[in-house]
Amino acid sequence: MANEVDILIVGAGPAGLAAAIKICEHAKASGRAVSVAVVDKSPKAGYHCLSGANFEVDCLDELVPGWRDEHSDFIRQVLGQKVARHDTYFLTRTRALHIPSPLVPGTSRRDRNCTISIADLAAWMADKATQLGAEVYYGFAAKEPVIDNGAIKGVVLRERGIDRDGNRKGNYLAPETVRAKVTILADGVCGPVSAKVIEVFELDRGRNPQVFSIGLKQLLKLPNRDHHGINKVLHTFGYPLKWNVFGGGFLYDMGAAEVAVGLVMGLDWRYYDLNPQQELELFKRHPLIAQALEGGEIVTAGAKMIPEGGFYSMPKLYAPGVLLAGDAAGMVNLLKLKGIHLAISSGMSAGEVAFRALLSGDISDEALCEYPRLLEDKGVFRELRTARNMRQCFTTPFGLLVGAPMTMVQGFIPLRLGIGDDRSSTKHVSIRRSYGAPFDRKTFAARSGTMHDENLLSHISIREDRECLECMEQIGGPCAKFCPAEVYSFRDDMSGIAISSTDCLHCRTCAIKCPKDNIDWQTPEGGFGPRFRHM
Amino acid sequence: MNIVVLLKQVPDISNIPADAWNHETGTLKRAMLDNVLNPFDFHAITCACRLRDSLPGGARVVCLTMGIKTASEILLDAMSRGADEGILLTDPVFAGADTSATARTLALAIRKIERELFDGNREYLVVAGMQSVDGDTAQVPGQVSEALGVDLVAYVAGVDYGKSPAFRRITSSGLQAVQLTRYPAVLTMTDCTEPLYPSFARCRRVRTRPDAFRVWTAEDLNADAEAVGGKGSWTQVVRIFSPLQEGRNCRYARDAAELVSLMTDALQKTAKPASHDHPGTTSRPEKPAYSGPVLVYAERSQDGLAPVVYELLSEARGLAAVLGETVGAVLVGARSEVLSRELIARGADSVYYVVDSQAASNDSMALCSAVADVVNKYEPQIMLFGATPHGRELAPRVAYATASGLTADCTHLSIGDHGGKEAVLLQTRPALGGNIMATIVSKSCRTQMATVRPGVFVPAVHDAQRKGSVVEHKCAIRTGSLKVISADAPLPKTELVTAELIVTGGAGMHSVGNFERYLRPLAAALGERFSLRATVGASRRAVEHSYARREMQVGQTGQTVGPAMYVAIGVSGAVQHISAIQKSRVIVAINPDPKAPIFRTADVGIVGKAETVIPRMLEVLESKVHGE
Repeated sequence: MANEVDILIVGAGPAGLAAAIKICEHAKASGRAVSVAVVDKSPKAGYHCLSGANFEVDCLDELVPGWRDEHSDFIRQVLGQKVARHDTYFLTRTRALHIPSPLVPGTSRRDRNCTISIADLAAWMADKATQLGAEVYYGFAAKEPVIDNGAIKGVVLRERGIDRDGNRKGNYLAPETVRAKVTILADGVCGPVSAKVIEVFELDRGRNPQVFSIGLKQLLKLPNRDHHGINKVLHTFGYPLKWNVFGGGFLYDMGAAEVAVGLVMGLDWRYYDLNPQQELELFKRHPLIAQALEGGEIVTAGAKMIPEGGFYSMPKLYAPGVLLAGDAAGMVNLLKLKGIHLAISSGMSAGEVAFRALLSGDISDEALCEYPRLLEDKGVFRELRTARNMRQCFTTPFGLLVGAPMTMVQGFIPLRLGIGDDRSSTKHVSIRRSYGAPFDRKTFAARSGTMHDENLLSHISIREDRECLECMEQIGGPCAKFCPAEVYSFRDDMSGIAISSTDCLHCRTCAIKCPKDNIDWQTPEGGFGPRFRHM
Repeated sequence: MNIVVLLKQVPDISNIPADAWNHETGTLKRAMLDNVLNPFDFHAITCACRLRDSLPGGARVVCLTMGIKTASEILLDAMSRGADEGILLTDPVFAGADTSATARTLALAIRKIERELFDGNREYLVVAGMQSVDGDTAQVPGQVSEALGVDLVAYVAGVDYGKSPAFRRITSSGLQAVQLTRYPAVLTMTDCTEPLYPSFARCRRVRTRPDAFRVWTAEDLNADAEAVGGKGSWTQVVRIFSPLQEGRNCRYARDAAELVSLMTDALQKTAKPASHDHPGTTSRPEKPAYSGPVLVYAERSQDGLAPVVYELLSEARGLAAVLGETVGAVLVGARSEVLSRELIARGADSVYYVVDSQAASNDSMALCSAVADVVNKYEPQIMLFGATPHGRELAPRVAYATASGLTADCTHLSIGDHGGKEAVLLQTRPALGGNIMATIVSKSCRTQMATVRPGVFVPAVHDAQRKGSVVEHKCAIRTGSLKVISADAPLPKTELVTAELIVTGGAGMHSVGNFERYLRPLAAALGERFSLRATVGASRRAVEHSYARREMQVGQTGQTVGPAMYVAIGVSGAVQHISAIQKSRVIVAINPDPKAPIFRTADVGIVGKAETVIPRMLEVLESKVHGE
């Protein structure tokens, strides 16, 4: 049956593809024919993947043994991009203070890091998975899990061909159900299927709520390679972010006269008019950064959310018939500012456990609890625990002032420090900035290559118009400012919000940050959304 | 009945990465663009599958494409959407094919499909997209139909599915419904369907099948290596360059009257003069590579000649002057003294007319045989057609029938030397959706043919004193078999993509009422003033704020417009909007914000609010109309 597979993986990012590769390897070794399908909403491999990305490459040794000897452009690039220098600066408006690296947590063993494009990594991994016999299907958006007798039995794919008024078009395609014996959810940060599974099976009971950052990134082509420095990685904190906004900037050499520049901001900021895209422009104009970017042309731009609650915000990673991996499970090490290696490690472990469950036919919690045990054995949890109270340090009313020194000792705090959610943090307080960089949000969105068919039902809707007006009055309508693609704008007559869902970058910041939880972001039809290149 | 669908893999011009431009040459690095299925082909697949599903007795839908190995991706995609089979034509000797060599190869493959897949059953259709978005030539389907010697229903805009399906096609005079009485036949589809989606189940079945598609090589087709690929081509691209004129420089008007006069001025300045005005083409060639007159196809409209004919005549006169040759016009259909005289008065030295009633009824097979016969007899060195729906349907057939190289939709023609040959026709046209310009020459043929974009060249003026001869040409006419079942109906409305003047309102219009109150009258008045087909558009922002209907939106997902004049009112000029309108000849901006980015892209502008500027403009336009 075409709609039945042994193992279904939602999300063709590093986590999902690592799982697919591991399953195929196990199947091959055991001589068993196993059907593994990966579905992803992006139009093409890697188009919905975005990261810095300063990547700890060791995990590839286990995933694809011998990868260092492969003669491909991607591998050549990875090996050529070994981080040679890693600097951290504290920025004031005009000055940059170099922080000696012993004072910066998580910067040791930088020799294993390479700056890579996660989009290229995902494309490379998809090739590997396909060669091993996995089926990878792009352009299919998963909508919700199939739940049968208390166990996950696959997913329902989103229906297609609904016009903007909600009517079925001539090419309407009903929701398709893909049934699977085991399902792995690697559908990314706030993944729609994993969110549903977490809710139904209460996988977040007794955990801290997940908190998020928004990361914005641009790839610039420079006239020559020397501006920034070959294989150099730079992290900053301080300017342009206010002292009580968590986050920092980065600047990575990407080879081929390209640099990645970006800014990450914890979503618990209080300013209703903070505009992350313009904050990035301010960052780019800081003397330290500006001199490195001089003459550069913006090639690609994009944004994504990062789950950064850390160890204590991670949900339980399994339920009957299903395993969660990667960003969907909140696997980010905030101390190292890294998550790809954890996504790959967790994907491999999930794949291994899924394969065993398939063989034994046992998909119960008792069988799948092998998964966290495996993560423990592989040191994934140990690593995550070292950063377990990292984010919490910055949630005191004193922000960076207390937070920065606290990070030095957070790993020794044996307790779980609590954390509030991002939604309720916004107040009617202005950041009092005059933004106005000519590289505006519409241009930012255009550079992401994002596209949605405006003749189809908008994937974003407002639950109650009234709530928006109330929010505008009480808080100042932050969505009109925080969305990096300027999807939201208040109508001239203040009768409500106009939505440019066509420009959406799929970062889903709105679904988390809207103070009234009034924005309904649904996964759009497959094949649309951003087209991140080399991000 | 069975169906063959012609597919093409093209670069995705709706998503050009910022670094795909080579800034030194201004050209596009094609390798940096994604490869996708030609957008019009989705409609061909959908039409084919719907026909199959609506016909009694069932049918097979076989997809056919020519390209490198990776083109198999589009076959798999087509089959995921509903097609039954796929065939990939791939062979190093197929490389570098122009439209005629492509058509010849495809025709060979279609005959092989007929023999081997359809068991010799000739009751089948060939369905293709109306054109590919990279080449925009619309020549291959016409040349395939000529190679097969069958009817062509071009520019299908609607299908009545059923036992004997009817196809509504776009002709130069409107919509016409036809039925087929003879098979096989070729259809080309406009974007008139809701394209079928790939389903997961189909996708999976197709992609896990080991022999999902067939691969045929030149040997499988018994193709003569000299007749396919670059060797079998009659045209050759000789130069690629940037279409960007020097950056637009906004001239600001102080008041409405000055704005209208600056607009008039800009339109006049950007109209292309005929080639003979171009410097460097005045000296006569000593040993020209081609010989014979310059012919123009005199396309008829309901009440006379199509306006483009006058533009062709002025261009032809310029070319003929350089070459020292005469200009002829080919007129087919009912006898008309008036039209012959008009052609001579506008620059023809001779009028060759073929009297034929079948040809008069828009039968492209009959018209083709008549025109091809004239070409074969008078052996012109150059022949020009208007790039109207009619001309773009006829010219490929005539070119194929007379073994002539053809270049579609030219925006510039000149005589120059190339490749050791003197005085050849250099044909320049936009390609890749207007992102690059290409200069093309004909090779290994007697006649150099081109279709010329209407509205680009200045029309020839009427000169009653001119003298010329009228020659009746008698020949056997081959007739087609299309049954016209309804008279021409006017096209539903002026579409944004075909409009010559667009007045667009942005979020700065502030209400639905303002759209009606200001923009419609302004579009009407400007259309009348400049004799351009005018319509009202809206920016995406205006649509999202519900000031205008979605149908009015300029620049919907990948669509671009290129009217003679584009008037942006209250449009800030986000990059998405700018890239959709960049091909416009003249861009006019009216905006109260002097810093609005739209002024950076405009040729003419005024800083002011729509509510104050437009009423004044209307007064000025009214008074000028009355004043003349």
